[in-house]
Amino acid sequence: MERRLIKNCQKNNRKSQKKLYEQFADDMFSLCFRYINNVTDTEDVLIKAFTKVFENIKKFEYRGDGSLKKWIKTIMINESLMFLRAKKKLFFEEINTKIESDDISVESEISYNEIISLVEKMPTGYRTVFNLYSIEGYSHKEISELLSIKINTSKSQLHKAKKYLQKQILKF
Amino acid sequence: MKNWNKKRVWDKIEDNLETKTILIPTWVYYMAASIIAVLLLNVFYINKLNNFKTNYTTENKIDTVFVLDTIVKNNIVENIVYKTNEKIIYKQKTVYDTIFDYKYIVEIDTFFIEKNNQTAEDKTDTDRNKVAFSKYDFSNQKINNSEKINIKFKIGRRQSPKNTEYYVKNKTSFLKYQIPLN
Repeated sequence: MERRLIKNCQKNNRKSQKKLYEQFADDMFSLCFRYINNVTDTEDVLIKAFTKVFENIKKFEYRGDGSLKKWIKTIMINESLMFLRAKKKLFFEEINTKIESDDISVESEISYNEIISLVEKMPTGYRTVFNLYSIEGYSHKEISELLSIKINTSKSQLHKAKKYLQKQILKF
Repeated sequence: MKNWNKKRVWDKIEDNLETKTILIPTWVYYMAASIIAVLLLNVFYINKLNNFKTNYTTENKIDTVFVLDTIVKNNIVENIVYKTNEKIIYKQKTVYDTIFDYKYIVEIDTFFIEKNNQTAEDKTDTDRNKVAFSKYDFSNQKINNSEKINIKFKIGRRQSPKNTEYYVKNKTSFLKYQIPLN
């Protein structure tokens, strides 16, 4: 089913392109919004990113279930980061302190959506690294290359983001 | 989900695609046709390759624990070497786990030797060797060539770095792995 949809999109079939858009639009909006945190800007990023998806879908190689979504997500993330860079919203503090983890035990868990709403409130630097590392599964090395920062900066941003979120969750 | 204008976004995407389509010169289409022709010649090979990739991915999704080796000497199980696909286990983590530095661990939960045609379901818990984490002694587990080893793995969650193992109720999952020995 998905394979046929991809093939039709590769043929530039507008109906299939719309179908693919409908299928992924909401998920991709949520993803980009986690980085951009503004509805209008996220919509603009989606326009650019989906245009890229359809322009480049001919190069896409199907590798089983989930591979299309993964490929689209990569384009969305790159486009979101390009937007943040262009708007000079990406700012990372260089911290050289040793990173230590504390043992915190929490009885109850809060929902995914509640966590995401807390993530959205974080400063752009923390939010970007947290999204890339904890949600998208990028390594610190990959993040450092994507954002042109040091590996340690990525680690410290993540550490600070986690501390911030731990505090917020404990207040919940 | 935030309210957003899905239609406006699609209309703009469509506009962009229309513009780009008009701008593409005819020679690009000829070039694309030639590439498709070459691809068609290789279609059999590509299909084979895709099948391989698909199978490989599916297999990885099912098994998060891989038994690398079972060391059996003189019909005695001496050790079982296994590893986990950390990337997959990582994906099963929740965002919450990441915030609080919970890590996933894999351990042998149950280990028993299946004799003749007896299946795992036929055995009661008392028949099975309950395994203490990292302390399991495999000695005296005699097996014959017709028998199979059944291992049940337990995936748990623990808080790092100093806390003792911490399992979340109803959140441990089990995997079974069977090694045919002959």
